[in-house]
Amino acid sequence: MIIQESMSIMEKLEILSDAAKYDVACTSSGVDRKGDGKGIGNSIHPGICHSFAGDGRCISLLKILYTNECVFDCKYCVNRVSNDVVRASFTPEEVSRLTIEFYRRNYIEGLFLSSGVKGSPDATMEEMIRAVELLRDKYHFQGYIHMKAIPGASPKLIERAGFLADRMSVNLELPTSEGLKRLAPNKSRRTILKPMKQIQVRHMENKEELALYRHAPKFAPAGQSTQMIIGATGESDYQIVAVAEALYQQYSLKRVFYSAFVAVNQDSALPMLPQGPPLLREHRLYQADWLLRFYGFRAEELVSEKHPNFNLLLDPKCDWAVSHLECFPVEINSADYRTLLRVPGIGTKSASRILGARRYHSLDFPDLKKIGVVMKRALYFITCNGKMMYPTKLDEDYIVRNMLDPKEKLPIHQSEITYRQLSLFDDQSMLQAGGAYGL
Amino acid sequence: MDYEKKILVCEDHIEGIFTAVYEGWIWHMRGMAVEISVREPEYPDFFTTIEEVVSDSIKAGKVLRTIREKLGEEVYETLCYAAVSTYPDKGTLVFRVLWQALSGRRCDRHVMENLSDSDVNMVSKIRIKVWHELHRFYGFVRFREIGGKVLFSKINPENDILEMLAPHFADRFPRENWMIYDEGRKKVLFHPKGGTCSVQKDMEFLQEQKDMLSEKEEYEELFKCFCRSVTVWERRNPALQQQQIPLKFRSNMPEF
Ligand code: SF4
Repeated sequence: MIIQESMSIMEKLEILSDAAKYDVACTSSGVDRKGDGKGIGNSIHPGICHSFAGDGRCISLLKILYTNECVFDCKYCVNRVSNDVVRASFTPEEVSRLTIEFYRRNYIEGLFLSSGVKGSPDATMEEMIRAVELLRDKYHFQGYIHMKAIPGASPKLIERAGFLADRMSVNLELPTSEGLKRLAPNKSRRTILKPMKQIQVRHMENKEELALYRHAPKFAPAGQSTQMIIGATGESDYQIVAVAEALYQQYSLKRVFYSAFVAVNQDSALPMLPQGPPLLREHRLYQADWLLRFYGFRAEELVSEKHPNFNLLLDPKCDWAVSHLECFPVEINSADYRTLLRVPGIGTKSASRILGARRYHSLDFPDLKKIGVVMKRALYFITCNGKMMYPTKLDEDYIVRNMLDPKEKLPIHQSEITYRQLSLFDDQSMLQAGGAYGL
Repeated sequence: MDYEKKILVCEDHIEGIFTAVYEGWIWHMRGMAVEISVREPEYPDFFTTIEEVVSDSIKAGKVLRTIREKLGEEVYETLCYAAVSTYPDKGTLVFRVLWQALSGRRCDRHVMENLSDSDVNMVSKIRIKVWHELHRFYGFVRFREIGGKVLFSKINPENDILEMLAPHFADRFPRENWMIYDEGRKKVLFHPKGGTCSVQKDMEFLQEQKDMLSEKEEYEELFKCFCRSVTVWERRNPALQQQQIPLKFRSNMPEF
């Protein structure tokens, strides 16, 4: 292992933020906290993006590892013990100073602190806690803190961390336990789910405490999140979405993040991804996740054992709609909120705007446009006062052909997969998500 | 009535606009069409009279209080956002929406939901734009420590949102001296340590001060380094980056 003793803060920051960047959870959302006038910082519920990195992702928190020394050997990770990379560690004082000085200049919303496992999970967790304690106690920092729970750390330490952090997370890493066994031999479903359960239970107990004593200390008020790596093992979209749904329901997670696998190590256990990370698949998963959380969809409505993967050409909601034409058309002037939400082109905002505006008078197609409904998607599925916008057929092939949108904004740039290119593949392979990625 | 239409020309800030609303209300009650403009109209038509409105904090305050009390916080906020926007006909829009909500003893707290009405719709669109810019600046304001005592930031917002930044940053940095300078409008929002915010207009900086303000800081270098190294280059996407943070913001941000 290469450990350099006298490293500048700049060098450490470079190494330890580079090592943290594959953790995608960088939101600062979920908690409203006014400053108390005595310290520094506050937090607002939707979170704030302070900058955007070259990959287009939001920079909100100072996202760093405490150390990239690690005794574990997760196959997909640069910091695994078997890799020969330069190692660095912060001190608690360095972490807290850097956070405060960045925060004062309004570069960040707060701190995201993760870590490799240095020595033991407990030893690592202790040091992370010390850094965060300094921030909270010495600097009276009231901004956002996201802390990782290190799998295997003792419940006592998790508890202490929870009272310092706004959000906690334990990464599930891989959607299946076989995958985990194969790629993260030092972790197990048990060591991951145990702290997750503990955080959930403690968070709920804390809510009751807070109901009784308003000033009781808060335990992870912004809840917990997790992340899965997508495309490193052979799981289907159905398996992933089903796991996400279970996490939301059984562990009350606030967010599940999906991270398209980036091949940083050469390893026979890992897939080769000549086309780059499976970004389109990741994008579809985020869309589906959104449908689970805000649109009242259940996992098996979107994908199933029989259709285990997302259609790469249509977003999951359109895909659902064209295969459930019996639910349409929906009458804009009478449908309830849940039904409106199922219409492609109508989002949560436009659905509630429709409810508001139709109290004034009955709505017609030009009104919907003003309200922000995406008409070129919605028009096949709705009527206004019994009439459709154009005479169109409620026919699956017809609608799909008209809706396929070569300009759909996809988060893809480098790999440049557009509909045009996809359509060069033969139908079967392109309709199986992952097919285009050679998984 | 002799005249068909009255154009009230007011100063381009909240106080100006709402003073004009106050004056306009009286004319409109007498049956006259009213427009409010922040600029002298170039080609007024024959049946139009133009009147300059002198900003009056008492009149504007009355209007604002009425809106807040009768129509609620949300409508109030919406109309303020509209009033600081760059939209040229904002005065008239604000006036018409208020008339719709308040005239003839009406008191429609839900007026902003009537989105099929084109005035309401426009105001709602403007609100979203201004709100969006304000929230972007919550994130994009960059302070630089000057002389170890003051945090200084320069911004060039499109809409006149400087004052609206005050509550957020005062709550966030109560124990700091900080100032945010709107370069285009030449005004500065100043917050003294432990005190309350104030705005000073017609601020110009001497060359010497400007030089001091542009001195590089160690933490800027560190932040630049951080922004570079958190980027996942396999996912490089300058188009998305630019959509999220358009070039016009970047000149005041050290990481670009
Ligand atoms: S525990 Fe695994 S994922 Fe975390 S730093 Fe160590 S090797 Fe990497």
